[in-house]
Amino acid sequence: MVTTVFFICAALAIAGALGVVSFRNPVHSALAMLGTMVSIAVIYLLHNAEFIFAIQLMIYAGGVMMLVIFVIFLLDLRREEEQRAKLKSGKVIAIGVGGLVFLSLLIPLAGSITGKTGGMTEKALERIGSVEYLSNELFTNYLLPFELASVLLLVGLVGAVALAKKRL
Amino acid sequence: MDFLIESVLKVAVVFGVLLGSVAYTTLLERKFLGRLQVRHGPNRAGPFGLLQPLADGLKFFFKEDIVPANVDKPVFILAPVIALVPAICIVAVIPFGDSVTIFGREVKMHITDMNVAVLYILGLSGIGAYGAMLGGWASNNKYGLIGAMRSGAQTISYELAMGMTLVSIIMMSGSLSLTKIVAGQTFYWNIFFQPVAFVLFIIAGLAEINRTPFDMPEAEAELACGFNIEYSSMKFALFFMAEYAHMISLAAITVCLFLGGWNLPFGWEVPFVPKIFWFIAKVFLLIVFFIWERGTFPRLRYDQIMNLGWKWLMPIAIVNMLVTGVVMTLIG
Amino acid sequence: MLQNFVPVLILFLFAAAFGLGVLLISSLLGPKRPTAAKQATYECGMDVQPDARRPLDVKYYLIAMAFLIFDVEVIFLYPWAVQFKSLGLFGFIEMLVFLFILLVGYAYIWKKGVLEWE
Repeated sequence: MVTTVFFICAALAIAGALGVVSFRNPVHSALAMLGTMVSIAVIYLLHNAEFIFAIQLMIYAGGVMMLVIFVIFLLDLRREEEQRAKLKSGKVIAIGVGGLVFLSLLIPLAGSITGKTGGMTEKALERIGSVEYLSNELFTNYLLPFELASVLLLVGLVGAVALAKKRL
Repeated sequence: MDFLIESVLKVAVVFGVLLGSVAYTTLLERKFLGRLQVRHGPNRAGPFGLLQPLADGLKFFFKEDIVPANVDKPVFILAPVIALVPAICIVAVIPFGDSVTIFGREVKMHITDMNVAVLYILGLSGIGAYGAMLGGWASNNKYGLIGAMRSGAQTISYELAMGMTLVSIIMMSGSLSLTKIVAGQTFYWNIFFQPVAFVLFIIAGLAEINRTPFDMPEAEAELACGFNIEYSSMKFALFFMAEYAHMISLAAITVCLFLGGWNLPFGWEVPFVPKIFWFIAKVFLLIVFFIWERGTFPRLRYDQIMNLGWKWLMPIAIVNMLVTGVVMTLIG
Repeated sequence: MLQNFVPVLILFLFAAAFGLGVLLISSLLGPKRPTAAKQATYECGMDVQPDARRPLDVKYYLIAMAFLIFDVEVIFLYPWAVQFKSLGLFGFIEMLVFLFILLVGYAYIWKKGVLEWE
């Protein structure tokens, strides 16, 4: 059952990802990306990571996608389409680099595709995936990264305003 | 296997009840609004207009589904479904009552008890907002597009205020599961300790589901219905159903978070009355309240709505959270 | 734990089947008599402009960005709130520091007029 759901979600996620790059219309791409995000959320869930599942729904499928859609609406799509023809050589390079990245990702996978049973049994995963465990770890052992995250968020916010300010 | 059959049956019952409630909430709204405006409301189809929702539903099936020539067809068709599905999926985590015994089998009165229910609800309502946004964009209509943008910006603003407000409730209950939050309210309801959060949550909730007085995205007077302007037939009905499903689940979630779910306050119990009755009664009263305020308040301007969300609700929610934290630390 | 999510999946399938199903049924039952006037974009009787999609105000982008940043912040608040009682005073002070840094950002966007809509 779990394996079946995993393969369905994985297929949907990949199909969505292919859709993102192949659709001509950016809004269609965004819609495909939404599908990918939700499929990945379910895959997190299959690893007993409920909290990450909820975050994926809330932040990625909810927040990031909303930002992407706003940005698409912000752009002048017709002008983008005119510019498409000029990017022929860039496209070839992009495909080459993308292919290399993809291959380098495949190499470690090829060695250990069957996987070994380690300490991460289902019981352990269920404990680790819970909000309580994450909270205890985050606010004690990983305190500094947590506080730094707020600085990072602040930088993102100020940066966005500073970039857009010229046009305000 | 037993579990699977039980789940399917439970889902089927809840799904049916939800759709029925959606249909009859529309009738309740039209009747009650009618009375507020000193008229009768629908009263021709069946006694007291009771068959009106049925007639409306059937009518939608037989109406021509107009797809304007220059819309983006796939997005135009998918948008209502994207609006409806998350709205329905939210009810999965709402507990309706305690467990009951049917045929010697203990059945819990909720579809599932999720440990991250609160986040799941916030996430799904965020996804539901795409329905209106994409619908308005796909229509290729100026009013639709303005409605779509307004709807998106308003929904995310108030989702933020709502999320901040909920933090103080979770601090008190120590859980993100609605079932556990309700279980912590058998004696004192959360509203007794968190009246400010309750008011903030109701306001943010109404704004998030784009209900009057926050219904800017579909303001008839200036946008001629906004994002659903080009929609007709069943596609329009799906948007409509999503809106009412959101309203019902907002009422149910409010009851679970603040009004003790299926519990009476102070541990009171009334013999022979099943607990689910109290839950339904509270949800019903809240829905009546939502209709009542629609009949009472005028619509806000868009800048007022955005100001209210970002400059009032959010700071108040943060202060409320800090006060809760200080008081809880002092008490121990 | 995964068992808890099976009913959610079932409900999702119900909802999706219902949504797509009624669209299909209504498209089979409803009449189809398209005319050029009927299929024209509705603009309250004005002459129809060919394309309504044009670049929008950058304000919306800024609001979405601010939403995203504060949404991530709220995500950090939830695990903290769940364990608030056991994290104690130290946890509370940690969160005050975290909140303070982000409130600086909030004050900044307020002052820069990101939240103004007039």
